Amino acid sequence: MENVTEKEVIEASAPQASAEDTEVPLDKNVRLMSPTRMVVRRFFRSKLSIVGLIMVVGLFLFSFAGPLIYTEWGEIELDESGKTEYSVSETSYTVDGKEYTVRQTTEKSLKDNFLAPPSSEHILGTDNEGYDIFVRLMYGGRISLIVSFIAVFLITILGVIMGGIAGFFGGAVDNIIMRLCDILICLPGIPILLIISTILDASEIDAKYRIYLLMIYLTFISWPGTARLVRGQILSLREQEYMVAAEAMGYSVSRKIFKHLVPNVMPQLIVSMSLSLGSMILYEATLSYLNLGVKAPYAAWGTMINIISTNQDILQNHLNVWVPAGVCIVIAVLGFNFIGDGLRDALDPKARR
Amino acid sequence: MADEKIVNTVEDYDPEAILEVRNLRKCFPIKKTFTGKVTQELVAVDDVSFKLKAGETLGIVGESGCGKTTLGRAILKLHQPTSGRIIFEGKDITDYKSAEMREIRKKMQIIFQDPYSSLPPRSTVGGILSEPVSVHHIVPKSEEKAYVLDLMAKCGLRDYYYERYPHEFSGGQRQRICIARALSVNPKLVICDEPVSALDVSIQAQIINLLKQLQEDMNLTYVFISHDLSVVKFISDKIGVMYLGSMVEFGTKEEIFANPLHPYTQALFSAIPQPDPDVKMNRIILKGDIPSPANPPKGCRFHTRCPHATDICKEKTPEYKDYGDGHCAACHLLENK
Amino acid sequence: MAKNKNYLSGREVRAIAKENAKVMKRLEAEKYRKCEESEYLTQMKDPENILEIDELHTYFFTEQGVVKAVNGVSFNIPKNSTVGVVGESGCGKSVTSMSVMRLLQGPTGQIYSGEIRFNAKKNGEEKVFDIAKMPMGDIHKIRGDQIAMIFQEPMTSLNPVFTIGQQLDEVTFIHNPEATKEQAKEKSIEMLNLVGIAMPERVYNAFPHELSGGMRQRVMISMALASSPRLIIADEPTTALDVTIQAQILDLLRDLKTKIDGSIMLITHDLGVIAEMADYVVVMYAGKVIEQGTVQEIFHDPRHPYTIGLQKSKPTLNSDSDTLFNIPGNVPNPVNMPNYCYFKERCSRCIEKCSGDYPCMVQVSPTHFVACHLYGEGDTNNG
Repeated sequence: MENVTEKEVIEASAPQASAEDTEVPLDKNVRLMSPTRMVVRRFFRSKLSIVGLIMVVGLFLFSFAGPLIYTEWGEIELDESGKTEYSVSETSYTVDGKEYTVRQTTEKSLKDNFLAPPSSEHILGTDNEGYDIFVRLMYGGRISLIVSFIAVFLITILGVIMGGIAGFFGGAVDNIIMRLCDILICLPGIPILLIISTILDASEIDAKYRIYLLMIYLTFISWPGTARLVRGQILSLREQEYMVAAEAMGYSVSRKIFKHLVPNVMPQLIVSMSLSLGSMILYEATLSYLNLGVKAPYAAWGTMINIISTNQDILQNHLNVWVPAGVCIVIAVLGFNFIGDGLRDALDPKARR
Repeated sequence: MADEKIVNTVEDYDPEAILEVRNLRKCFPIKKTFTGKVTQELVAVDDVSFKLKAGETLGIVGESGCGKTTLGRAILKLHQPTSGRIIFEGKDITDYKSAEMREIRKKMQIIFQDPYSSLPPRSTVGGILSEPVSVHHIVPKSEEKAYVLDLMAKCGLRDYYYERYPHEFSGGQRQRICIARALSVNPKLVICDEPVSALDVSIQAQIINLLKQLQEDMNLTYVFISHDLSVVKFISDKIGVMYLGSMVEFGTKEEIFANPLHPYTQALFSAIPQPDPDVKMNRIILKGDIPSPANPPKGCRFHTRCPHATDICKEKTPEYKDYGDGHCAACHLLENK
Repeated sequence: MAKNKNYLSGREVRAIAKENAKVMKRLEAEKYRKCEESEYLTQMKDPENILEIDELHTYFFTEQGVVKAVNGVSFNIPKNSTVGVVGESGCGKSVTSMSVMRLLQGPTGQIYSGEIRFNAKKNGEEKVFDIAKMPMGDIHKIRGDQIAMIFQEPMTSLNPVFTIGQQLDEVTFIHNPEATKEQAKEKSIEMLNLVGIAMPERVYNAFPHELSGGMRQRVMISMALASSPRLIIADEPTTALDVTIQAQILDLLRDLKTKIDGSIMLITHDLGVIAEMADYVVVMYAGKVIEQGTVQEIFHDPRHPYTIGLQKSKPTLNSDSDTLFNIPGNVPNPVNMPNYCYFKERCSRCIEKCSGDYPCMVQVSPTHFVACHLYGEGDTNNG
């Protein structure tokens, strides 16, 4: 503190020409939160986003690490331990006014152990074919998560490029891209999916890959949402003074778009990505349920629920066959939505302070 | 405006002037028909001309909506002028395409009013300052950091700010960063668009002194835009007063302050509150509001608020004339004298 | 995680959050409690004052730490006078007015301690309330009725979907529920006339976006006057306006002061406005009052180096020097303030004593006080 007292005492009346911005120790007392920490803190302040994160991380571990740990059964491995099925038929006779019932039990030895109840061997039992439900849930999760991630990724890339171009250049380019968006939004999604699915059936594409092709189609009809978001953001960012400054600096167009505009759209993009992950999982499940997506013998959550449409008995008496898949879908969609909401609050600059 | 075509060739330029603006006009369309034909326009800058010598500072004063910001941006061609000529270092840059402009941008820079929105929020100070240096290849790649640190020191920024983000700084420090960014490409002309109006009084003084210091060191020419006459007085050599898009008075600082000709300039002087409770000035309080630039009054634009308005003011636009020693003004009252 | 020592570590952040949550919860509960009027009735120290702010502490409990935006502010507003509060951004002048109006954004912004005594007069009966202790449920007794506020942004402080008339009538209805529509309109037009609006009938039916900034500020002023308040708080009323319009509004405010029977608390950063309008001046710096006195004393005999510097760094039309005087450094961010004079780092007249405790208020004249070590007790001629 001595140096302060030794400091030259300048008469307050004398003009003092000092270009130096003296860093005052008072400012050094102030330590702020780093931007990343601020976002992380805001995110974790909300209980729902923690719940969402746990849900999603749990599902990921379950789907991707699960099959590596639990190796009793494979995805398309039938339990051929055999099963004895008893069918009882009753016949009633009336002889001399008395009613007789003849119960006939048929014992049938079958190769597959299907519709087995939960047991130590099959944690959630088996389905009507004899596949292990628990294991198929894991593999189904893999498909659902991978497919929706790919779709969302493609939607984002396409949306950023188209929205970025439309927003930055404006005018006729903007008009063309936005009208294209309008047309795509008008298309009825499910009917066209049915048609495409029929075409895929006819062209005999491997059951494993048809879901990917369908998701590419979904990407194609879903990017306008992202493009509109990006365009709107860029339109408002373009008016910011730092963009005028970039123009005054003589930066090239691509530098302005990709180094100055897109990074500033990222927060909104991340939020919309996490929200659309949920809807993509639903889409995938719907497709599989309608028997358009993943086809037997491969597992998907939608296909696993679809089993109930073939057999009324399963709907009523074998809840273990279809309820777990439904629960997984709900957890996944809720989880992604919770995370999305949490991120939106965390990244919203208006909520600062 | 009739001799616009002749002016197009830049043979008659003044070799002393670094910047010359001739009959500059900028209109923004506000109403369009369906086919894109403009039916109503806003004349933001109307027929503004001036010359500026290298190393001088031109102060442009006016209230909101007078077109001073548009003028500044039109000089840099951030807005393409509707008509008129901008001659920079003897070259007519009015019709330069964006690729040609990119080269010129090195020589003319701009500092904005709002130090909060004019810095990209997601880059560090170092990133912000080295980007223009590397884009324009001002120094070899290896010397870049040293160059930027030197520049930061010149602008009164500590070297450890290099790694920090703009949001960690106060308004004054941010404005220093903006100044450093503008100077990073070694410009000759800097347009300062209200650089101190968003700052606190004690910080304002620092920034004004810094700008003066840098002007001396780097031989800069400033166009200093402000609504505050007292600030402009401090930094300018010449002053232009704008009202509703047109220049109403132009002259050297001494002339304008000693002998303001236009009634608007006079009113502007008297409207500034003085920090002295004993000075009870003979205030000229203008009636009414500033008319909308989209629908300016006929004749002299100032006649709706002018305390000396006569009939002729409502009919005829006064001519912008030289009343001696380059002290120009546009007012009917002066013509009759 | 503590890679960068400029930033708070995760542990520190959690500790701050925990500490804040505790205090905020207590203060919030206090704010929304129900209680008898007697609990917040009090007495004025000087019956000639309309408002007495006594050791007010208003804190913001942010995630980065406690921001002591107002840190022990005391001043009085005498009846029928204009008190100017001047200071730079972040000095707590607006937060002080927000505390008086109890408009702080909870739960982060809270009055931590202190008294705000306000002399309310309803139906001829005078009562003194301690605003700082009033529960939010009772605040309508004074807010808008006894104390009115004029904001800085005339563009955003009017509701864009209602006409000026509807918004003005509403004020009348709130304070006088028995009024008929015609009476309300009559009163509104009278108010518009009072603030010098040329065509009150037309403005009455206009929407806010049809008016210019100056007109809107006039409407805001008329709205503040509609309930005949005893105190008007004007928070930077002319900052967003052009100079020629500012001159009109200041002229109007000065005019109104003689017409209405009330006091004005004028908050601004512009010394020129203060010099023209105020009777008393309070200079604030980093959440503290550093100097207060009559307008003559502050402008002709400023004592605190900050007040002196502030006046010198403002360019005036009359001065002719080449460079401006400037105060070095920046306005401090009021987190973790040390216990020495906050201005020490920027002060050019620092003495040894400045490293000690924060200076207390020294009386220079009956109305002039300054918080600076340069002026010791009884030693009023120094400097």
